[in-house]
Amino acid sequence: MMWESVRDYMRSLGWSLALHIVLVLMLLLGVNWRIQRDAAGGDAEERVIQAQMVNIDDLNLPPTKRELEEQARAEAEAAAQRRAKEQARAEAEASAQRRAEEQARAEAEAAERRRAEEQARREAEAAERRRAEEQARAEAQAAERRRAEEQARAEVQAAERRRAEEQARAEAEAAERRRAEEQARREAEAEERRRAEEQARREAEAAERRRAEEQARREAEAAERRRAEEQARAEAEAAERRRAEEQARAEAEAAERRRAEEQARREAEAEERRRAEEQARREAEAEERRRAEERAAQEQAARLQRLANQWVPAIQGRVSQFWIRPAGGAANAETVVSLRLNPGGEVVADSVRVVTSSGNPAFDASVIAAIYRASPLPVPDGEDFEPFRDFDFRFSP
Amino acid sequence: MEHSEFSLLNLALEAGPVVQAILLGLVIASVVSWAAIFDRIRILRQAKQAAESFEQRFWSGGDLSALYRQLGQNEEQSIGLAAIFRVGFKEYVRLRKTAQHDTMATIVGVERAMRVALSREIDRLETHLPYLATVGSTSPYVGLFGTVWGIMQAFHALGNMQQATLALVAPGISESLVATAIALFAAIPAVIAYNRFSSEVARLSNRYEEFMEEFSTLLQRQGND
Repeated sequence: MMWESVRDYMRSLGWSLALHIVLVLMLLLGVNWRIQRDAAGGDAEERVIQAQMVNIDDLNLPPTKRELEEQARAEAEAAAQRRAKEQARAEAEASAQRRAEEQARAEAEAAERRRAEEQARREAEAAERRRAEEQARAEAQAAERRRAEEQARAEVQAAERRRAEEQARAEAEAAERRRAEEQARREAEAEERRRAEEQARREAEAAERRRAEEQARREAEAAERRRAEEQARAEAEAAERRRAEEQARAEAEAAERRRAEEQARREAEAEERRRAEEQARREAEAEERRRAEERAAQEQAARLQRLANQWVPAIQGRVSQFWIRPAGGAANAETVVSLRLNPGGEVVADSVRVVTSSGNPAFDASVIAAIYRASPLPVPDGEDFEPFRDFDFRFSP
Repeated sequence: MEHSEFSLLNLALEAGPVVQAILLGLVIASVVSWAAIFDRIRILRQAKQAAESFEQRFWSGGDLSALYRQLGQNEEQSIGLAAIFRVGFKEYVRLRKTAQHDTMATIVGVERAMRVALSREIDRLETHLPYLATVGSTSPYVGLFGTVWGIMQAFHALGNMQQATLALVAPGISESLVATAIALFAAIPAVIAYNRFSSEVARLSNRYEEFMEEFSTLLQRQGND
């Protein structure tokens, strides 16, 4: 009985434990759920949208595909329409032109026809007229001819008479004329001879004059030529002389210049050599100085390291004594602060600043408070104090 | 350090050692009290069923000695009314075998024996109820102690700060209030269960006493015959 009751109680205990484990599991699931919700909430907070008034026309929205297609189709239709109109207009023009040509041709034909008719009529009239004239003329000629025959017969008789008289008079005149001609020919021949003699004399005089002039001119030219040659020779000699002088002077100058250049080069080389030596000496000195500085810096660094190794643990220990752990864990936190000290290790008021935060403001504040409370800090005296006058301090519990 | 992440587990793990000890004790108390609650639910239901079935058998008008013999075969399982009846009837038979025929003396003896059995049964029903009462009444105080301790520490750490903002105070207080939360979690079911179980035990006790009176009246009538 006793055992049974104990066993039953154990069973109840098991139920109770199961209930609590279920509760704890629900808590854990709740934690996960909360974290996710927090993350989502964080995102939501960052997404801030500022609304502002915009003109709806300024909204240069990119056209949707349908709109693009619509537009393209509309453009295509417009183009087709345009093309159709163009074609229609062209056809209309062509037809109008054709019609105009047709009409023009018809008109031309009509005009032609009209002209032809006109001409035909005119020709007919002309023919009529000609025919009438012809007839009239024929009649007139016939009458004329009859009259002419009548007259000719009368004239022949008169002419016969006149011809006889005429012939007699003509023979007399011809004899007279032959005499006059004979005389005129003789006079003309005499005149001709005189004129020929006159001309021959004039020609001889002219030839003489021409020859004299020719000769004079030739002599003048020869004299001129000689003078010109003379002058040319003189000028050539002068030029030759000048050239020779010029050349001599140029050579002298060139020699002078070469000498000057030579000297300048020698001086430049000497200068260069002097400068190089100067620079080498300066570099050597700079090198020497740098080595000395490096040595000094190394010594200084070594001294600082030694001092740090010697005193920083002591400072850390003292600050740790005065440090109060803030609420909430600070297991891996580490803070770097900068601080200033007076000789003797007293912390200068308000000089402690956080350089690298641990990420936990409570921890940073506790470290700063601990440093103020730990004043005066353990520091060396004299010259060794200088590095600690203003230094950075890393604190981690 | 993520103060924004609110979690009972994180808060409990980051708390100080005193608060952690108190939290551990409260969790154990909660586990044990729930075990007691389950146990009592089972025991009381069993007792009620047993009482009903026995009363039915007892008032069905059968022979008492036959009933006694039937019960005697499985002595271990007789609980509640059956145990009281068995003890009373056994005492009655024994007193009747002795030479005295004083009915009143026999009845008094039987009643005394039955009262002993009754007291034993009631005691069995009441097991763990004082524990539930203790948990229900004291665990809020224990939790309050943990909270006060945690807040003390939070304010102490706050002394380091140049300026005390709400962000610096709030996590410490939140941590320490976990103790109160756990304590209330343990105490509320314990108080409810205690009140309910004690009333049920009182009712069962009344029922047993009624049966005892009726049974002794029956025995007195038999003795006078």
